Amino acid sequence: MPPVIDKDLCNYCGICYNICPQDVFIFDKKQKQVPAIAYPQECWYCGACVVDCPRGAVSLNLPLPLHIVPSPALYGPPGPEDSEALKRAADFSRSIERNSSKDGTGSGNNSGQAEDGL
Amino acid sequence: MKNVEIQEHSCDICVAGGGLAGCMAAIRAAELNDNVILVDKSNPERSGCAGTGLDHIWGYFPQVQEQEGMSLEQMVEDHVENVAQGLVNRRMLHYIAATSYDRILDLERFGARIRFDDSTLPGKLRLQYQMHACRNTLHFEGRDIKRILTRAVRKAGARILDRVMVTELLTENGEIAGAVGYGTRDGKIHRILAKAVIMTTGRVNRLYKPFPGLTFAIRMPPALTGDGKAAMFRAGVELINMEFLSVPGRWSSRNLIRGGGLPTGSYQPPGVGVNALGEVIRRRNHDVGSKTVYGTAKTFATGKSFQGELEAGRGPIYADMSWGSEEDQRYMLWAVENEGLGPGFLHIMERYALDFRKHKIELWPIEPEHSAAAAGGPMVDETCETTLPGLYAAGDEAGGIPGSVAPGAFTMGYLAAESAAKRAAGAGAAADGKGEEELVAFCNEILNRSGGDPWEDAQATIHNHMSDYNIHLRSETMARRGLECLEYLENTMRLTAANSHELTHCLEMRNLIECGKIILRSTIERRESRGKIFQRRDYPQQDDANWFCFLGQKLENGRLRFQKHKP
Repeated sequence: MPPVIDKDLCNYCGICYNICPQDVFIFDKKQKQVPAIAYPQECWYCGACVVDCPRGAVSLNLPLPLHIVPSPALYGPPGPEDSEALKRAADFSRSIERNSSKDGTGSGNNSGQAEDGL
Repeated sequence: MKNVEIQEHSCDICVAGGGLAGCMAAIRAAELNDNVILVDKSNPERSGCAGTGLDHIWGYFPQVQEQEGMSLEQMVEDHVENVAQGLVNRRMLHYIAATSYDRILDLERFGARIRFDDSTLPGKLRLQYQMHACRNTLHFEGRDIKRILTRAVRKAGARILDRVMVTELLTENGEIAGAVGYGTRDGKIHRILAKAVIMTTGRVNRLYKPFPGLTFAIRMPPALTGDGKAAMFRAGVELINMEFLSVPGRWSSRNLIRGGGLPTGSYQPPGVGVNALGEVIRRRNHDVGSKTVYGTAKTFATGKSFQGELEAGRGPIYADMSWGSEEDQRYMLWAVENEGLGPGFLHIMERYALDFRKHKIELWPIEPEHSAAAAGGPMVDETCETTLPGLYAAGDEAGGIPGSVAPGAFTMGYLAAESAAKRAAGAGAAADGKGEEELVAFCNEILNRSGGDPWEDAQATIHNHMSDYNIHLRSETMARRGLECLEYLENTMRLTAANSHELTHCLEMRNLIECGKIILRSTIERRESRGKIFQRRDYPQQDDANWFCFLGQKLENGRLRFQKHKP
C-alpha cells in the first residue's frame, strides 16, 4: 500500500482524495471514515497527499522494486582545506561575483541533455 | 443497454489541461473574458508536471544577463543552436525568452517567493546555470506553485471543471466549436461548447516499458497520456515532430524515478556523479565554472559520460550529494523540497533512513520519453493558434520549441489566452459542433460489455510494441510492423471497465494507441537520422538537404497527409 493513513491522526477532511493526481483514494464525505486506498498500484509517489495532509497522517510505503538499496557516500562534511571551494559553492547562485572556472576546462553546467527537470 | 450520460456546458474560452500552461492561460483568459472554463483530468492544485513543485525556471533577467555580457538575442541564439540544434520555431522561442521574466513577476504577484536575502544579485534572485551559456535559471520557492496558481485561477473568475479528461474536440465548418471530456469520477461525457479552445494537456507519457517495471513508476506524470494530441489529430489538426524521442529519457535514481536533474540541477552545490570506482564523472557546478558553451564540448566536463563508464565496466553510476557545508546542504534540500517529486523523495528518504550526507544514490538511464527535447505537438503560429481556427496550444502540448519547458508553459499559456480572448470577443454565439460520436460509441461498448480485456493488458501491449519497434532498432520495416501490431491491438482488444476510473484508463489506451500510430507513421516518413532524438538503422546519416524541417502529419478528409515545414 503506497500511501498509508494513520487512523488515529486522520480527521476525514478528504484533502488527499481531493488532490491526488492519480485518484488512488476512495472517500465519501458523508461517512466519517478514513479514505480507502483503492488503486495502490497507480500511486506515482509524488507526495502530494503527504505534503497537503493537515494532520501529517499520510506517509508513503515503497513497493519492493522501488526501494533504494543503501550505498555509503564518498564525501561527507569537508575539511578546512576545502574552505575556498565551500565559499565558491555558497556564492555560485547568489553572488554578483563572476564565477570562473578554476582550470578553464569548463564545458557546461548541463548534462548534455536538452531538458532539465521540467 | 446502458448509455453514457451527456452533460452540456457552454463558455467563451475553454482551457483543456490545468498544468502550468493551462493555469496561466485560464488566469489571463479570465482577466479578459468573464466566461472561461478550465478543465483538468485531476485537480489543478496538484496536477501536471509541477504538481508537487517547480524549483527552477529559465528566462532573460536583464539586470543580471546584461552585466554578464549576454543580450537577449545572444541567449535566443544559444538556445537555437545548442538546445534545439537549429530546428525550432524561432519566433515563439524569442517570445518565450523575452517574456519569461514578466510571467515570473506574475508568479510573485500571485504569491510565490522568488527573492532571497542571501543573494547579492540584483533583485535578490538566486540564479543557476541550466541549459544556456549564462546564469539565467531562477531558483525559487515553487513547491506549492500549483496551489498558488489555482487560487489565482479562481480569483480571476474562471470556473474549474475538475476530474474531467478532455479527449475529443468539437468542430463546425472547419473551425473549433468546443471540447469533449469524460468525467473520471462522475462517468459522464462533458460537451463543452466554446468559441475558442486552448489545449494544454502536455506530453505523451506511458508509451514505453517503464524502467522499474511498474507502469506508474515513471518520471513525468502518468496521468499525461497524449489525450490532447490524440484529440487534435482526430480533429484534423497538423502535428509536427511526433517522431522525435529522447533515449534515454533521463538518468535518474534507480528505481524510484525522480527528476530535478540528479546529480545536477536541484542537487547543487553538493551533487557529483561518480562511477563505481568513485571517480568523478560529473563535477559540481561551481567547479565547472561559469564560462559555459552548451553542447559544443563533451557531454560532461570531465570528458567522460555515464553511459561510457557503464560500457567500460565501471558501473554502476551514483549521484553523491554528501559534500558541502551545512549551509550548502540546506540550500540543496531547499531546492529538492521545491522541485516536482522532491517532497515525496525527501519523505521517503527519511522514512527509509536514507541521508544524502551518508548515502549515495544509484543512477540509471530510464525509459525513453517524448520529452521537451522532442517537442512533438501541433504546429502553432505567432499567436499560438494551431492549424484549426480557434484552437490554440501552449506549453508541452505545442510542437516545435525544444527546451521551452516551464517558461514555455507560462508564456505561451498567457499568449494563447490573449489570442483566444480576441477571437471570442469577435465571435457570435458558440456553434453547436460535432465530434463526440466515436467517443460515445466507444464508452457505450465498454459499459455494455461483460468480461473482456482489462486496460492493464492493453497498456502492457502498447509498452511492448513501442519499446520493441521504436527505440534502438528503428527502421522503416520495424515501424511498419509496429503499426501492424498497434492496429491489431486496436481492432482486437475488447476493453472492459467496472467503473469510471477504469473507463478513464480505457480511454487513455485509445489515445496512447493513436499517438503511437502517429509516431510510427512519421518515423517511416522521416528518412534520415537526426542527433540524439532520432536514430534510424536504415538511414544512419543526417540529411539536412531534405530533412532540416518540421515534418507535419494530419488527417484531411479521412486521408493522411505529410508536409514539410521550414523552421
